Amino acid sequence: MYTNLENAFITALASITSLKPNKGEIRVAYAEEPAPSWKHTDDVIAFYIEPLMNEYAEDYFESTEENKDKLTRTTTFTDVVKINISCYGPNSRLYAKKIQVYIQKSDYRRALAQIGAYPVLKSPSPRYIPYEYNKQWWQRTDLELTFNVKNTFTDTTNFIKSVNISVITDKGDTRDVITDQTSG
Amino acid sequence: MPLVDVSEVITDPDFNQTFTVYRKKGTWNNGRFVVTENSFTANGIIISQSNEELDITPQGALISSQISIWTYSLLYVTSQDGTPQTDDYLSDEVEYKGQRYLITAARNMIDYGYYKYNLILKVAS
Repeated sequence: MYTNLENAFITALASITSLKPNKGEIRVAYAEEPAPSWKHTDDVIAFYIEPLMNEYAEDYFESTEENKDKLTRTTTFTDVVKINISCYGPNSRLYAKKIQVYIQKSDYRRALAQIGAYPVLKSPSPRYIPYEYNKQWWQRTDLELTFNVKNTFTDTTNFIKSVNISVITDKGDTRDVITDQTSG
Repeated sequence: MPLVDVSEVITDPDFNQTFTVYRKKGTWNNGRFVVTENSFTANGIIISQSNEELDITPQGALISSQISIWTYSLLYVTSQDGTPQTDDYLSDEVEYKGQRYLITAARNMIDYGYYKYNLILKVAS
């Protein structure tokens, strides 16, 4: 559901950090097939998107459009999402802070606005949370960003243009009646 | 140090069997790990290491099971011993009695002529 936002965010992260998403240095977390990990000295950023509920996410707008034989209904709403980012490696604190600050720069705001995503200004401070693995301390800093994202769901329904009706009288006679919606 | 090669037991026809190995190689494409799979056959001894355990959850019934394999063949464990570091491979999967098992642990005993692998049931059917 969030593929567009993921792609736009990956582009922004790659630009902010110079890490490479085609080398696994930026990765979408919780992949169905878990990718190999990284070395102690590598810098890697993993993120995932989850929906949030707040007052901006409460309203839905519906519009309908008739097009010959079809009716299209569009439901538009603000999808509030949280992007959970984990920065690993020796530069984890630097990258987390850079992402928090740079994502509000006009260049990135403009790029994200192209897909209807708008970063919310206030975000919690990055959290420095190194962890122990294989008797070594691994560097990690987490960051959360909130976005308001314009989203739409579209349903299309075909009009009923004509209906065949058979009338059977009590004397057993049968007459076909065709109602044609298009003839007015 | 003199080493004793005990691997001839693995080829004993009383124990040895052929199994299919599924090898998964991945490439990175814009932050996603895209996996391709191929298969080949290998030989070794397969022994069940646990009962098939039934676990009931609100969403459905789950089955877990473990096996071990003794083999001459080098099988891959993600980012572990023997896995080529230049490519991104995931752990191999092995088909045993119609079900796929995922390698979760490896013991490199090649100095004594064999490898040992532990596997868990991946897809219950």
